[in-house]
Amino acid sequence: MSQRRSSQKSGSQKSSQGFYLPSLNVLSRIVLAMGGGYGVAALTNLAFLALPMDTISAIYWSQIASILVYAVIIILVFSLRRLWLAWTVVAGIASILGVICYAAL
Amino acid sequence: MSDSAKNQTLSMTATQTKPKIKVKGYRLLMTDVHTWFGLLLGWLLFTIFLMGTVSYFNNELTVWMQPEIPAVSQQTSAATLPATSSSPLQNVTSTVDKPEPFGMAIKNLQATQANAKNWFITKGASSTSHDQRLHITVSNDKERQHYQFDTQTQTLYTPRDTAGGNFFYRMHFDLHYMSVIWARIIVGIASMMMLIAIIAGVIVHKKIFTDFFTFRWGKGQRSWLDAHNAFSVLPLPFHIMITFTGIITLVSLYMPWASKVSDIDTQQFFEEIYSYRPANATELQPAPMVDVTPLLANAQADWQKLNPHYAVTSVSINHPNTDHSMIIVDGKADRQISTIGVFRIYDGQTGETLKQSEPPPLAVTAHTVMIGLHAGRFSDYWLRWLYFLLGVAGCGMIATGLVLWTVKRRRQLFDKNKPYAGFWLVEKLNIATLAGLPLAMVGFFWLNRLLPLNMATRAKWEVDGFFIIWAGSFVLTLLMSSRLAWRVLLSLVTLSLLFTPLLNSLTTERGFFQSVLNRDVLFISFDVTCFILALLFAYLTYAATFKQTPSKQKVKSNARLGAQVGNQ
Repeated sequence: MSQRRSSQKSGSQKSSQGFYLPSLNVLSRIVLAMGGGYGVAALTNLAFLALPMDTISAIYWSQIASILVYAVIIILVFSLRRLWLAWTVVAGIASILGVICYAAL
Repeated sequence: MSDSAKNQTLSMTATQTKPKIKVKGYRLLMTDVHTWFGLLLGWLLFTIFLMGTVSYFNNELTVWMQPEIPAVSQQTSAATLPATSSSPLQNVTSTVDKPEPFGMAIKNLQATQANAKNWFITKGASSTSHDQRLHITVSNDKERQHYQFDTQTQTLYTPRDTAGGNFFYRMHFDLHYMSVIWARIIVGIASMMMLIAIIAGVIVHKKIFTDFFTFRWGKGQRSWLDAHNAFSVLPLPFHIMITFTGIITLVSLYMPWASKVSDIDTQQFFEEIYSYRPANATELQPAPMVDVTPLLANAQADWQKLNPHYAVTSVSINHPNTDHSMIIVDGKADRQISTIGVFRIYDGQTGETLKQSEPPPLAVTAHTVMIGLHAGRFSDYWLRWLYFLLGVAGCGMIATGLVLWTVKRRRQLFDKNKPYAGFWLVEKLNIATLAGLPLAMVGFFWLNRLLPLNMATRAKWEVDGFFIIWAGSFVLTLLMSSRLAWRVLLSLVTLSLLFTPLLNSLTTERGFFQSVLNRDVLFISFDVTCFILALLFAYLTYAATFKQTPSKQKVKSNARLGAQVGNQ
């Protein structure tokens, strides 16, 4: 019993205590980070084609950039305290990039 | 990752001021990200890291696994003596005129393999490979034959059938027993998680500089944390570089969208920057081929006008001695980082230049420099060893991180003998990977020496044996208590490493003393490395046997927890 109490006391550590089903909040963040992050990275990949450089260079630079963007987005998703804000930011970035891609291609 | 005492006090103040458990410090949140991104594919990451680390020496490992081919240095001293008497100029010309060895190899192939589909002759991929020993692959419609050709003695070697160091190299990103594409996607996901774990790990760190100089021995969890920090902090630039460039090597698989959408003809573009041309011509008519040696000299001379360090590294001839023969010459500067060199393609019948490489766009060079940095083939032996040590530090980082996960949670277990499923799984996987994988690797070397030489599909059995040993060690961990399993597997690794030099001296004529006499640096290094690693594993065995979870530590921490609960 005291074991359980003590683990509740260190409550903020709780989610790293063991395996169990993550809460909806965490699950949502994981989906957003991996899926949304990849989406934004892929859009970055495409958006580079709009830049004024030759296509080969655009493709190769965009691949490097997209990995960096992916990493930043994942960290961002887990950094923002509010879940709705995280979704909004990712959706916002994605839509800006989407518009650029749509306009350019 | 901040230490647990701090976490607890931090969280206690948090719970005191705000009763809601949900609110977390940013750092604690990142600790979770670090923990879980590191853990979930941690075993795969350890495998990838360890395989990659030994792959810095994959060519050297292959040489060790083909002991019937004499060492290059040994050969030189033996061969130069008669060579100087017959043609004193030969040594002089071979240093000035690099393509000469290729010419000799081609002459040899003309005599023995005139009707092959393709001849591929290479100096070897790394800057340390010796151009006295050329690697030859002869492809026919059905089969491929691998030789090594010694240009000084004109000897053709057909070594034993072995997977060689190349197995570790392929395993590093292609895994095994599965489709290459899926393997690479899985490896990519693991690398991405590694990158995130590293970034989160840096954010988590409060005192990155102080932590580097802190090491608290014999303090259970604290020591594991300090070890984890030591392996992570100093080599941090390497860890970030190697993870990022690792993703870049396969990025066109992960991010194909731009090149799919754009109107670029990839086939044509690759022909622009790479020399590869498939040998797929049909309706061949026999036709004489030009003398290749002057063509090579020509190509090299032209390249050296651009950069005096350029030299021919490989020659590939499609459909030799036919009307479709094509001579593809590749060159590289000595110690160049970028993996793209120069190339020139000649018509094999007329000797006219069909294609000459242009410098690739900057973006492509950026990619290939990253790939070069990752693979480290440009480096000399000193830098190669540094790469190796940093790679070992990376393995240490992952290993201590994985162990730390269990050490941290073991104290909070209800009943130490009956952990919950997740803990049990992590611990068993830790043992089977951290101790079982090295055992399988040493076993792989042993199989190379012990399997009968005339065995059919011998190379395949080496690899299968590797996985059988690995699976066996996993079964072993399931059958035993965790502590015993650590002990048994680690001592097996220690013993097998210790006896590898002995096995080598019994099964080959290149034992340690023989190697010292012949100044065979590669074999000496292998034996010494085995011995050092055996010492390392002996220490780990000792630590796992006598040091794990000191009961004092446990009592103390329980008392502290109790006191804290009491205070509340």
